[in-house]
Amino acid sequence: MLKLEDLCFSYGKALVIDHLNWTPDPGKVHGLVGMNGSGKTTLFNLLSGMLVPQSGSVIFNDQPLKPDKCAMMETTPFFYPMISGKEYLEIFRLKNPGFDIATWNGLFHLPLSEVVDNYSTGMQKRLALLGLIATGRLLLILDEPFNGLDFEAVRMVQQIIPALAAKGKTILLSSHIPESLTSVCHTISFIRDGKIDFTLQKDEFVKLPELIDAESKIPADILQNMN
Amino acid sequence: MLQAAGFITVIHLRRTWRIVTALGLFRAVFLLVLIIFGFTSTLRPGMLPLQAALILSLIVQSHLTRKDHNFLMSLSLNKPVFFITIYSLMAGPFILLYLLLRDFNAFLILAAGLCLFSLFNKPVKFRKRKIHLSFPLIPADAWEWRAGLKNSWLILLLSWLMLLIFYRQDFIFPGCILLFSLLAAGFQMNHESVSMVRALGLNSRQFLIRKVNLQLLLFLAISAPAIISSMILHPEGNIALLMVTLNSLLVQAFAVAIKYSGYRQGQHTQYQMSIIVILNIAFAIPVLLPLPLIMLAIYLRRAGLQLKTVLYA
Repeated sequence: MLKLEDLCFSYGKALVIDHLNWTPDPGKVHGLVGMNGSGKTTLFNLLSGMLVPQSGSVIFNDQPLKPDKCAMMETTPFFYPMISGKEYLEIFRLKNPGFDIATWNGLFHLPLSEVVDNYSTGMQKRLALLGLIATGRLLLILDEPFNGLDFEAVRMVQQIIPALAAKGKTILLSSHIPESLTSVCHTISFIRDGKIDFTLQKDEFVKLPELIDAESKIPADILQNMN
Repeated sequence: MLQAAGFITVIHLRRTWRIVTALGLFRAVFLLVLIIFGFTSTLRPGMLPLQAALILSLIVQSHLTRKDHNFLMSLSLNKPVFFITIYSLMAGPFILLYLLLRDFNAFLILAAGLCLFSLFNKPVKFRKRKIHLSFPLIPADAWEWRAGLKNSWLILLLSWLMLLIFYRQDFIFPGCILLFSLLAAGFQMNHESVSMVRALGLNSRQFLIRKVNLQLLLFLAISAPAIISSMILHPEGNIALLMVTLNSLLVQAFAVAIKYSGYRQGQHTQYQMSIIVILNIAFAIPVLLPLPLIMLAIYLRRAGLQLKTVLYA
């Protein structure tokens, strides 16, 4: 079980995560949506260990969360220049020797002998996802995983993520487009001003546009007066 | 940890090989000649600490600007002990060489430096400055300078202050000009949007001439206090000063040329600073003396061709 309690973080004087509480259930896929700058990436960086919370706690399986328990895929994954796809994945095999690159690549269809610099954005994202899976960690964090993916890759990710959750992994993923998460997540939480504003279960997802529109809907008179 | 460091070192070596082979024969040979020249010229007695400091500076630069924090964090490798191991493996031949030659100063500089900088395993974030200056006297089409000076005005101010304090030291003046040259060339490493390039309404030739002129004039404007003071206070060093200034002017024109030869909007080409650093010290190495002029001629032509694809004229 992942439990975030009273988490706070600020960049200088700007409070980005403000006494945040969140308890995503284990073995499920949890979506996190919010406007740009609402604190999604900062929250994920706090979980992955890239940032250290100024107060509050992150508990995972009754222990303070350590960086070696989770792995994160950034919005724009980093690759060393001129590294081949196979070399990239072989680095992950150092920590998880049981990971079978050939079998997994049967699903991902990546030209692993090519250098990553020649990959398209979607291919790079798929490789990063493969790397994330290769870590074998129990908590997987994906920041904006659908950005830059073609529809075929989106469908593939939408099938793989629930399958990983079914194997006991807790998966957190973010998006600023709520509709992209509804087919893959068990819960969707909305982050606003550094706090979890509300959390919806799968059967409540129909309420999502209404709840979000309450804050961001453009008044009808403005729309009518647009040239 | 040692196994991971060894494995990743091998991958880095393979990547380096690919990068070198992708450079092409001429540039690869040129790079090799430079490295051999640099290595042999710092092998003389008393020069090994300088060599160690140079190697350390290369490692520190790449360590502080690395972007693999999350990648290494996912592997539980973003730890000082990992960096100490991997950098020791990479710099191992030099560390052994200094021990064999019994130059313990060089050994200590490299070994202690590696250990010290390996402790910094979080991304380096510079605090935003509270003072934001605008430079209305700089022409609007010198946008690189307006943006660059916003970040670097403090360095300029401190350099001028150093000139005032240490004006009796003749070397401080060419030193400052070299620093200004690097600073000004660095302004050209960020590529503006296509709409800004087109907004001037010039053809490729006129645009390039305008940009080179602005770069030279503004570089001379910030260097003028150092040049004039040196000519008055240390007239015996005028020839050296002239060489540094002329070379720096060539480097400024080259910085503009190399930027627009590979122009792509939104691109950051900080890696090109390595070429600019070499050209900036070309006046001191006889074998490199004609290099800035040759490179300028080659890249001006390329810049013109590249700009034609952007400006359609």
